[in-house]
Amino acid sequence: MSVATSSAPGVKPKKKFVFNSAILLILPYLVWMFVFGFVPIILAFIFSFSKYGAFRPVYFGAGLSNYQSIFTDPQLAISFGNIFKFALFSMPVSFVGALGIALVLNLADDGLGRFMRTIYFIPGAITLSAVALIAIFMFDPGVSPFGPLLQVTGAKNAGDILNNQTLIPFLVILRFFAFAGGWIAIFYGALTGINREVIEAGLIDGCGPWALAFHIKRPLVMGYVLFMVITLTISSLQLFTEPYIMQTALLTSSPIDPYWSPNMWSAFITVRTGDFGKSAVISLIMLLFSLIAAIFIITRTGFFKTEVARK
Amino acid sequence: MASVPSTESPQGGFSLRHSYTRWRYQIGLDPTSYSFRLIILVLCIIFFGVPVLWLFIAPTKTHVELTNMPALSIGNWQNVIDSWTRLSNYNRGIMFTWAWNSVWYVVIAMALCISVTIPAGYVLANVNFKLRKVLLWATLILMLTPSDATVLPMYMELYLLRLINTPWAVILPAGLSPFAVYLTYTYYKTVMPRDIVDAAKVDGCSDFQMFWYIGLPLAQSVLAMILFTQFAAFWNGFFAASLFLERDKLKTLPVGIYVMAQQTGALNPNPSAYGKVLLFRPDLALISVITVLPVIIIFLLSQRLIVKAATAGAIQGE
Repeated sequence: MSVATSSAPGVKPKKKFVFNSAILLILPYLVWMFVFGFVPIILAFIFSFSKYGAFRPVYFGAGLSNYQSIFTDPQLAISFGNIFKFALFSMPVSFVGALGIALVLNLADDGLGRFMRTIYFIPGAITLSAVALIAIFMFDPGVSPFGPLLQVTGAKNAGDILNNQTLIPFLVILRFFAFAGGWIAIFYGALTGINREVIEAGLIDGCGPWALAFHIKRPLVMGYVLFMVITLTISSLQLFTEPYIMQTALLTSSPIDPYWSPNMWSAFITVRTGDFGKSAVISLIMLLFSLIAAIFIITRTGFFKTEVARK
Repeated sequence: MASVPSTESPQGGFSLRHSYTRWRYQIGLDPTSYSFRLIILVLCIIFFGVPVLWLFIAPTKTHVELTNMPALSIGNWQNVIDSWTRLSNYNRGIMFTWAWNSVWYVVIAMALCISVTIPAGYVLANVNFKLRKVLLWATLILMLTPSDATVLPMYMELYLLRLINTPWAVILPAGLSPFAVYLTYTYYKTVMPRDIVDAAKVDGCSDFQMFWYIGLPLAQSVLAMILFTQFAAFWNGFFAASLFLERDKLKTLPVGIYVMAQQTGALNPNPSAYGKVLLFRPDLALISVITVLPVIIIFLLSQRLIVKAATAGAIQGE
């Protein structure tokens, strides 16, 4: 970590390692980062070229056949298409919804607003398996508080409403329910951080509270859109828990595919067939998307200003 | 700065007009705007609050009452006790094993996470060394890559290490929390007094001594932030726990909810068609309440800290 040099004149400085106690402090992190951060990726890379049969795996025995198999499988377009469609619907809903609610909350700084913000935040504390369960109940016309609204569609139970065709809008609503509170808090924090002088200038110019919110405050927090879009895209890519629970727990008529999302497809292949090679290829595709998005956020958005990523 | 108008009228005594003026000054909204804001916020509370409220009310009803009674009406406590009895008897009281697993996995995972992340964040913020920038980059990339993206490659690694179906499969990976390291790094960058660090170096303090005597006592605030955010993350974990822990006795409460829903037919609206039903829908609601209650309580108590942690990176961009 730290290096000392000998200073004898005329002699080429010889580098000598000096123990620095900071090594002890950061060593556990380096070990964990390597073992649980990078080794899984390296293994996925190795497995993606390996052959899995009835006996021991043959490492690097498959060549490019796993890649060929996955890239020619129509399921690739279906699974990734599903989550891109989900992201496409989810982003405007999440953005408009969270920013809109934050702007309305920020119209006044009162106890009511703070109380409401707390309530909106609560679903974020609930484990996704319970959120999925709540959602199944909420879409069951027989038990849901929103039953009268659902009965208009002619549905009799949750299975009539939740299927492959309705899964995306359903997941959009469910994710908004679970995660909007966090985004509202972030937007609200940004809105309260707006310079007071800017607000007062708007007021002097005759802006009412709504015009102030829409024309002055909203443009000042639009920088968060890019951050939100990329973060939502990455998280959309990993969809697993909710469709997985829908797929297996809805016993009535669950027509949701067990490989609806890439993570479900990859898990299905791993657990059911033990073919780590093909599932490694799917994981690597997802990791590649995540990596590109992560690098973009760090270098382009300026949201993580450190010595490594200045805007 | 202008003073807040008094509720007292210029002639003395209280007047409605002055109370209204004071209220409007404080709120900063005219009655129409205020009413409109109230309507929007109430509509939102129906969306966010009613499903949670329903979850807490559902165990007070029987399976039949859940359909027959108004959705938000409260049943009676006897039904909660009956649900509790059915849950307790299910699979010889496995619910208690799941609850205990959730508790001890989380406690060890958090201890591990803190031991690894606090010193690492301190070093990244205060010690100059060659690979520092590389490590910061790696931390940010790992932080922005959702953990679910690496669950399946991780499964492959744990499978090779023969850790699948052991508690260590979910505990050990918890030691890597790039988010907590980044949070600690930004925290120390802000609060660590540079003069004290330099003075300590002049006095011959090693980095370890500086961390022990200066860094660690300062860590209380960031420690609380990490504890609260990571508790929720570890407690609520589903994907990894459902994949890495196949044996029923090793599972956690969030996975347990799913197992109960899947194995018992409790979500079937017509239980008799499913054969012998062990659990009903109110029972699933009760196990969900038991699972989510600790996190909700901690969320409510630490909301400010959690929001501060969540915005730690993003707000800096402003």
